[in-house]
Amino acid sequence: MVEQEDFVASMRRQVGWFAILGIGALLLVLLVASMRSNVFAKKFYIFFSPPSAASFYEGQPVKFQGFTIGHVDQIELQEEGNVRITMELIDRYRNMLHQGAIARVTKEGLIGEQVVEVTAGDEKKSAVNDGDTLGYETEASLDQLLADIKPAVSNANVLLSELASLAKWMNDPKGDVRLALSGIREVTKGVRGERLRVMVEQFTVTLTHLQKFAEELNRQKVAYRLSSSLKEMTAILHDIRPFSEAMGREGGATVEHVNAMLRNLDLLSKSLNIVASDLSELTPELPGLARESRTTIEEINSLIKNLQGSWFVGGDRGQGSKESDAVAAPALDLRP
Amino acid sequence: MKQFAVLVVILMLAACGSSGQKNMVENPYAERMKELSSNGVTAMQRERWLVAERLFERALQAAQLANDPNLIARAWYNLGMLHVSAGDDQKGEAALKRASSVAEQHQLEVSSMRSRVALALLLQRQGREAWQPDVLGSSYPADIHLIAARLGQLQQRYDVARQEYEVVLKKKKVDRATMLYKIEAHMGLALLAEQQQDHETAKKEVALVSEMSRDIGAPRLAAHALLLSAKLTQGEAQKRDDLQAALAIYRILQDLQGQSDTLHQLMHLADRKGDHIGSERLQGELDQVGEAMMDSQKIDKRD
Repeated sequence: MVEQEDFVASMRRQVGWFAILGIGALLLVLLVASMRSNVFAKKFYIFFSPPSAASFYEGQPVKFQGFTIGHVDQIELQEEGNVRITMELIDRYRNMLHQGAIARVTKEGLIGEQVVEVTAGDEKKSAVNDGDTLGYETEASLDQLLADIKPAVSNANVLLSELASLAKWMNDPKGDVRLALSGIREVTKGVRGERLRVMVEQFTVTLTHLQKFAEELNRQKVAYRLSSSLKEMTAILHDIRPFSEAMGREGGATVEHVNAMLRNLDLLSKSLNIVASDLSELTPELPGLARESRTTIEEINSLIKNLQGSWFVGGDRGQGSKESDAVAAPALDLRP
Repeated sequence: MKQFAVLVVILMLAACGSSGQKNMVENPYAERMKELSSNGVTAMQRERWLVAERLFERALQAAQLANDPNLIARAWYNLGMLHVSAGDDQKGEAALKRASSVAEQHQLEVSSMRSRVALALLLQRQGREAWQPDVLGSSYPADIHLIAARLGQLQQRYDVARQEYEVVLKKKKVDRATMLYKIEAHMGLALLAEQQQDHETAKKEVALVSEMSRDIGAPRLAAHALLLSAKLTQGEAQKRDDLQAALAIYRILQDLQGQSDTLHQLMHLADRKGDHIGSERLQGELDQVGEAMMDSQKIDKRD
């Protein structure tokens, strides 16, 4: 009888310990999980007012330097019609955000989800306070963009000026390109294929827009514009290919005498090589730039290479210079 | 932004009907290397050192992926020349030694000669003991003869220098790079003639440098030619015109050494003429240039 009672008491103790340890382990897991998810971390709230709430949702991650530091807590439409978004941020990151910090929407990678990104602000100024309202930026300004793409900063200005000078050169009514163009129009008069002439005419119209080029590049939203232009270019490449093939078939020897007018395209080819290199430096860094744009840049490079081997600019002219082109000029210092 | 589209349309027009299919399958890494190197050379010609450095570094990676010793040697050589041109002799020497080592290991005659003479020229310019090659014959590319000529000139082996410059001038290629080498050869011959007090030949060579620089656009060489022309000219008005034209180019190119040399000569002219106000103004400018040179040296040391 006594043995049976001891057995029962022992079993009760074991069950008790089992239950206590189980509950303890569960609580520990909950504690660790909540600590990792910052449930108990001290929070603070800051606000910003975008023109529209379209890109936001409650719970949307808020990032700083790629780290999640909070989330969008509340989205309100205020009485006066303004959107106000409240961000709940972890307090230990507050000292990293300074007055002048701005919020903006950005994509994680090319096809990632949209997140709110907060910048550091002016590090010489004090940290943001609970309840502060941040500025909102729809897209990176040119300055911000240049600061973000550090490896390409030194190139960006040169790139813009080179493109601008190219545009000027191309738009010169007495310039080689214009002359070449009129030459093409002349020789294509006798060539079958209305579509070919239409293409050349469209090309002429497009050239007249070049004057706006430099201004557009210098305005903000340069990344967006770059992206759109490259997309547009991709589409044009697809459209143009059948025309160019037709020209190759039908134009033949008739177009050959345009060669002389196109000789200066060498200059264009050189400049474009540099520009394409700069773009390929920029591309991986630019937010939201579509993948096909990179493919397009590669197409430009291959086109430039084709240019040198094309019958249109004089057969395989330039092939012989390949070797000397690829060897750096010696540093002789011929100063008197 | 339709501008890019326009450029592509032009290229498409030009590229249409591209001649013949290539029968050979090419190594894409080798192609990439050549493409990057060509772009790097263009960037270097425009004195965009950072862009050129990145392109040459990527070209080296592509050459290594292509596993082609000839391309690897060329990539190291390009990097070496870039560093020397940008004023970093230490990095330049290291890269040229790598180029030479790869070329010699794989018995690449042209690459080996190119890196050896370039290394010798660098050492000679630094006042260190350097290799003294004999006349190379005419089988090498123009740039190698040009380096050998300059090396001979600095080593005061004037006959070797003259013969090598002549070889460069006899090259029949008409691409931009060869044209530039020819202008440099004329400039070298002008300096050689001036060193040997043959002012008539020097003047003729300088005139050729000026003319050819105008044709293909080589402003730094044009400025050097103007500076040398001023030295050779007797007439003061012509001398001043040449110096002012050279100074304008050096200013645009931000060539501090060139500005300093030119300002010294202009000051000398002003002093001879008794123009004290002009001389003081030039001295002020010279001081500013001197300070800028000191600053740039400090930055170089910090780097």
